[in-house]
Amino acid sequence: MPGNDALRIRGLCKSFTRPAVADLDLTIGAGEFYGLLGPNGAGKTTTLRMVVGLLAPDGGSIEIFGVNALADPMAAKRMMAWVPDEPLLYDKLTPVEYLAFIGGLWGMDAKTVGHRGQELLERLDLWANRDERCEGFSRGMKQKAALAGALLHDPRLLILDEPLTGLDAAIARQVKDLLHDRARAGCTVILTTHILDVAERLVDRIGIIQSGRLLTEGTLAELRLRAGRKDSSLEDLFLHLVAKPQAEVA
Amino acid sequence: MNALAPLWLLLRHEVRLNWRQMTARYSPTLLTIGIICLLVMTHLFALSLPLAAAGLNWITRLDILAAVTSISLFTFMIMVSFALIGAVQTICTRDDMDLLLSSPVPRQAIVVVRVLAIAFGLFSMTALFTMPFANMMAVFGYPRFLLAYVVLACLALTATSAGVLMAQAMFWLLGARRTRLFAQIFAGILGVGFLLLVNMRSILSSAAQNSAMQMLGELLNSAPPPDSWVWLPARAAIGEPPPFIIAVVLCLGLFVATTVGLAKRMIANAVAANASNTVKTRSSRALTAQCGPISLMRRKEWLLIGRDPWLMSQIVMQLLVMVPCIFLIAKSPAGAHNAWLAVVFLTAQLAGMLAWLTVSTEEAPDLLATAPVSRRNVLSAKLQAALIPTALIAALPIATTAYIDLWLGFTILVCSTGGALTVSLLHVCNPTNGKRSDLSWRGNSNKILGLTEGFLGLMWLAFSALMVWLGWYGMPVLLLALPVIYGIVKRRRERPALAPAPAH
Repeated sequence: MPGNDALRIRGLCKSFTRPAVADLDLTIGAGEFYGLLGPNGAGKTTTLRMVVGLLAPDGGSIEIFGVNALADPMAAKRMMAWVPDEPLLYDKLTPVEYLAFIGGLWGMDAKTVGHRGQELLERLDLWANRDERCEGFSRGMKQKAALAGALLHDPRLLILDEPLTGLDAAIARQVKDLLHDRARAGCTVILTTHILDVAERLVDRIGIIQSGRLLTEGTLAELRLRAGRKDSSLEDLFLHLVAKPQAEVA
Repeated sequence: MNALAPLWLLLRHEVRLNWRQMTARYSPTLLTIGIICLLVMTHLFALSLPLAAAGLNWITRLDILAAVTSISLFTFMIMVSFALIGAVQTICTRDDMDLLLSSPVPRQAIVVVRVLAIAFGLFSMTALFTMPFANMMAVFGYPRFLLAYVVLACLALTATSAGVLMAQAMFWLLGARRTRLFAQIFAGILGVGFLLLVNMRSILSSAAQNSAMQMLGELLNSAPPPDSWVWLPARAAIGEPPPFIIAVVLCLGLFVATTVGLAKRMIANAVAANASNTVKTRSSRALTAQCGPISLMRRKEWLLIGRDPWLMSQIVMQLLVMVPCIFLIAKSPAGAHNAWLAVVFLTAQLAGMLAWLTVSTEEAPDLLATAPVSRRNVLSAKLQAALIPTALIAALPIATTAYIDLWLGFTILVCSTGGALTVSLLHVCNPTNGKRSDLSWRGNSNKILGLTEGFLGLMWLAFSALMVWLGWYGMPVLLLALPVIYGIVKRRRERPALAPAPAH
C-alpha cells in the first residue's frame, strides 16, 4: 500500500550537462533505516535534493507518505527534515535562537520548541553552549546543532547527506546513537555515507546507486547472497558491485 | 638551507597573495593597464612642479620646510592608519598563520616578512601618487629629489612600526575580538575621511576656505626659524645630508626594534586571536515569541544584521561616501534646499544594501527552501526586512523637507519610496551568492546588477529633480517611465537561488 511507504520514487530523472539521475525507482518503507550508497557523482545527493524539494526533477514522481511532493510540496515538507553535509546554520545566532527559528518555520508553538529544544541540546551536549553564537562552534558542534534543528519538529522522514563527514569519533557516536533511537521510535531515516562501516552497522536496508540508477538494494544478507559472497564485508560487496557491469548486477 | 631562504620564500608568498587579492576584484590586465595609465597621468601632472619651481624664486626656505612638514605629516597619518589596519589584519584574519607557525620557519622571519609587506604596501600606495613629482624634478635638473624614494621608504617603515605598536597596545587593552572589530570600522571611517578631505574644497564655503588660509598664514608667521630642531624631519625629507642620515638610521632602528622586539608578542596575539572565536550572547527572545513565518524571518534578518557591528558600520560608511555630492548640490546655483533631493538616492542605496544582505547573503538557503514556507513568503519577508528600516530612517528627513516645503517633501516621499522599492525588488528578482563581508563590493559579483542598482537610484533622483522643476507636470514623465523601470527590475527570468523552482 503506497500509504505505508515513507518514500516512493518512480521514473525520476534529472540532467545537468549529463544525466545525473536516470529513471530511478525507489521505495522505502515507513520506519526503515535506509542507506543510499554509491561512488562519487553517482546521483545520491541529486536524488535526495529532489526529494526534499531543492531541485525540480526533469521527470518522474515523488511521494512522501502518500503525498505527492511535486504537487503539494508544503504538505511533504512538513513531514520531512534535511541534514546536508554542510550544516545549515546562521553564524550570528545561538543554538537556542536557531531552534526557535526552525520551530517557527515549521509552525510549532513556542513552549514545545523550548521544551524539545532543551531536550535535544542536552542530548547532544550543546546545552552548555546554548548562549554562544554558532560562528565559534567546531564543525562537529555545528553538525550537532543542525541535527537538533532537523529533529526539533519530529519529522516522519529524516534525510541525511553524509552527516558524519569530518566528525570526531565521540561526536559521530552521539549522532549515530541519536539516529538509531529515532529510527527505533518509528522515524524513517535515509542516509548517504561513504563510511561503509557505519552503514553496515546502522541501516536496515541498503540501496546502491551508480550513474543515476539503482544498481541493487536489499538487506546486507540479501546483497551478500545476490553477490555470492557469504562472508564479505559491505565494503567488499560495494566495491564488487560497483565494479561489475550494470546488466550483470541486475 | 640558506638562512635567508625562508625569508625570500615568505616574501614571494606575500607578494603573490597580495597580487591575487588585487586581481580577485579586477582582471590582471585591466589592473596593469590602470596602473600604467595612472603613472603616465601623474607624471604628466607632476610636470607642472619643475615648471612652476623655476618661477617661484620668492619662496623662502621656511615656506618649503612648512609645506614639506605638512605633506609629510598628512602622509604619515594616513600611513599609520593603514598600518594599524594592516597589523590587525595580519594578526587576526590571515588564515595561513597556523600553517606558517607550525612550519620550521623561524617565527621572527614570519613576523619580519609580514610587517615588511605592510610597509611595502604603504610605500607603493604613496609612491604611486608622490614619486612622479620627484622623478620630474630629477629629470629637470634636481637629482637630489630622488632621495625622496628613501625618505618615503623611511616614512613607511616608521608608520608601520607605529601601526604595529598601536595594534599591540589595542590587543592588550581591548582583546583580540574588539581590536579586530575596531580595525574594520576604523578602515571604513578612514576611507570616508580621506574622501571628505579630498573634497574639502567642495564642502567648505568660500568664507571658510578664506579663514582657513588666514589661519595657516598666521601659523607660518609664528613658526620657529628654519634651523630649529622642529624642522629636522622636513630637512631630512628634502635631503640635507646630516638630518637625512640621522632620519634613515632612526627609522631603520625603530623598525628593527619593533619587529624583533615584538615578534613573540605578535605571535602570541595571533594565536589568541585565532582561538578566541567564542561569542557569548544572551539568546534573544525575538525569535522565540509566537509569530507567523514572515514576521519570524523578518526578525531573523534584523537580528543577523544587528549582531554585526562591522556590517552596520559599512552601511553607514557607504551612505557617508555620498556626503560630498550633497555639499556639491547644496553649493550649486539650484539652491541649498535642493540638496535634500539626495535623500532619494540615499534611500535607494540603503534599501539596495539591505535587500542585497537579506536576499543574496542568506546563510542557509536550503533550510528555507526545505521548510514548509512558500517562496513568496520568504521573499516577502526579505523585502520587508529591507524596506521597513529604510522607511524608518528616511521618515525624519522626509518629514523635515515637508515642513520646509510641502511639494519638496511630497516629491522626496514619492521618489524615495519608488527608489527603495525598485532597488529592493531588483535584488529580490536577481539574487546573487554573496558574503556579508563583500557588502562594499557587491557590484563585483554581478557587475550589471551593481550598475543597474546605481542607475535606478540616479533615475529616481532625476525624477525628483524633474518634479521639483516641473511641479505636477513631472508626474506624467514618471508614469511613462514606470514600464521601463519594471522591465529593468524584472530583466532576468531565472529563479532566485534562495528558493528552488517549483517542481513540475
